[in-house]
Amino acid sequence: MITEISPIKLLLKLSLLEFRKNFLTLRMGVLLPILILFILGSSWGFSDENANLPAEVNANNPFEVLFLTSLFILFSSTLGIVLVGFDGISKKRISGLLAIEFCQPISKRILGLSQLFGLWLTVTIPTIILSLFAVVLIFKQMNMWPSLAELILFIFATSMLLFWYSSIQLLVSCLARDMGSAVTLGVGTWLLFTMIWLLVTALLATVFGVDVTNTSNEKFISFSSKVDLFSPNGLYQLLLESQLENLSRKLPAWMLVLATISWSLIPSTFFVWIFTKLRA
Amino acid sequence: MEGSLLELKDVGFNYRLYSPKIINPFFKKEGLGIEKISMRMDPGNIIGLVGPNGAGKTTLMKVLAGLLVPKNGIIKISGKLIDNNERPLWAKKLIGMMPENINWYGTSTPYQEIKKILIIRNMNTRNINFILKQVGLNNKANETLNSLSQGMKQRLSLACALIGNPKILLLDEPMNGLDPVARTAFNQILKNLAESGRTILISSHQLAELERVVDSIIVMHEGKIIEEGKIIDIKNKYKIHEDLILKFKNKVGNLRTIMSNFKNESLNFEELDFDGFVQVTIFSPNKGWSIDQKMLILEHFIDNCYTPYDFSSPKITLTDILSAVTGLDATKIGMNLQRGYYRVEEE
Repeated sequence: MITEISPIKLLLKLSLLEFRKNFLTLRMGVLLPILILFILGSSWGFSDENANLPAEVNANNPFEVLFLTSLFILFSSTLGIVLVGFDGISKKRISGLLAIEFCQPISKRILGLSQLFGLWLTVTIPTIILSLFAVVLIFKQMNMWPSLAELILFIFATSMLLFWYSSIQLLVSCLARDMGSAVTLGVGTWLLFTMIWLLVTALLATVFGVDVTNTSNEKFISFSSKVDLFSPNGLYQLLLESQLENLSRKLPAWMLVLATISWSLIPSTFFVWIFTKLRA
Repeated sequence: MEGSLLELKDVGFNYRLYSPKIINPFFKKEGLGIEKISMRMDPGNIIGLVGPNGAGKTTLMKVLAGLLVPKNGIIKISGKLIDNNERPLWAKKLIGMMPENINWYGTSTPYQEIKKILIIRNMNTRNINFILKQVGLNNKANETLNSLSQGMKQRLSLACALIGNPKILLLDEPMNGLDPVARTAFNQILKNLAESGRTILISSHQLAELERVVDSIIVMHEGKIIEEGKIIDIKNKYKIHEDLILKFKNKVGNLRTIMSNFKNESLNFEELDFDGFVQVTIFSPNKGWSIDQKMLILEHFIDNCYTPYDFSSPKITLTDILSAVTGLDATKIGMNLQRGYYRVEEE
């Protein structure tokens, strides 16, 4: 006798299965040392009072160290999402496995969401665990803990960042028709937000008549912070900056909340919609 | 029409192919597909779906499995009308599909893949070994997909289709990559499944392969069903019968006289000289012939002091049936398919 399973329970089971499958791959074998080096190394280094940091970088308390560590998370963990997820859908589609899954008596929406949560958990779990270890390292160096609110904000923002990246990666993976385009689209979107965003900001500033020759002027800073709302990396930084004092890049809280909700809903909803329309 | 598990009426589907234009880079044009397909599948039947490459077999299978949404027509499963846009889950439970050439690869194992399908279907994961044993993969359960041979991958695909004991099985080119021993075992599995009341649609472009297991066949060409029924009935309808081939070490003298003396029947024949042997092909009469009649011809040659060292009657192939049904020359059937593509290009 088969009893009906609730969609939430089914989603959870499939997400965990996907997470386990992703986690036990060679890609994670490559990624884990990078995460360990970047997250633990940066938190250890930035919290060392003898470390020589550039003049404008201050790390006087644990949260400021975590903020600086977030720059390394932006580079390594988001790259991890790309590494694991760039072919998350396209590989199944090309190999024909998607056809087998689509034949099964399950809603495509649940199947798509399980892919998304599976990918998200694969990189988020080690990132968060390493971040907690980083907090311990910071305590060893500075003899100070971040406040609970700061820690929760850091974990929340980091988890959200990786969720946004997971949605984007799977979305572009749905659009990819072969392995080549999957790599190009996956790495391309990562490059756009991680490397090229400053150029995009400068271009937009020029278009809107904002002086880009002096990036420390107030008008440019205000403009760039608004443009950053349209980038997951930018929004992540803005969320963390909201806890930092003496920073000129302050945006109203409603803007941050709206951007966070939008980034959490729009790419993931769009991904699930595209996934349900996919032809296996 | 009662009792039918699956029924199609005038079902059509066309692929939308990217055809970028300067003014519209996302322009899609209508490509090939299937047209006006009407068929039914009754419980316990094994139906063969045959046709050349590009005939629409896989497309039809995908439409039946709910992977492709038909643009028109009616589909009924267990007598109930199905919404073409969204296949209900109860209907999906009744169908097991084995798609063509699934490329199982990666470090996952057959055990894990079966487990995932069982979880999706909300079934007990303790049955994994039983399912793998059904297809002879129990000793490969924990090996990586990368280490499986093509035949084993086919078995894994079949195992996935069998999960949940679906009433309708759709098997797309299931024999690809299977060795002769596995094929025999596979045929036996199919017969057992049909005996237990399941309906099986099995596609192939190898008619001889299907002949041993199917009850009837559906012949497809250029997206349409051009003939259906029992193989023997189709052969009789189009007067397609096996010829006789006799091989002799030396040339047969007065062959015409020998043939004209045979039971007052006028049989057409052909004599070909090869290096080291002579091949005499006796074309089948329109009404076909029995084994006894073939033996009589053999005896007739022996009585006339010509004993062949080889005697055979090659099986009818899909090409023979297609050329008979379409009226096209066997060598032009593939070309005709190409014309189909060109026609779409012109549109």
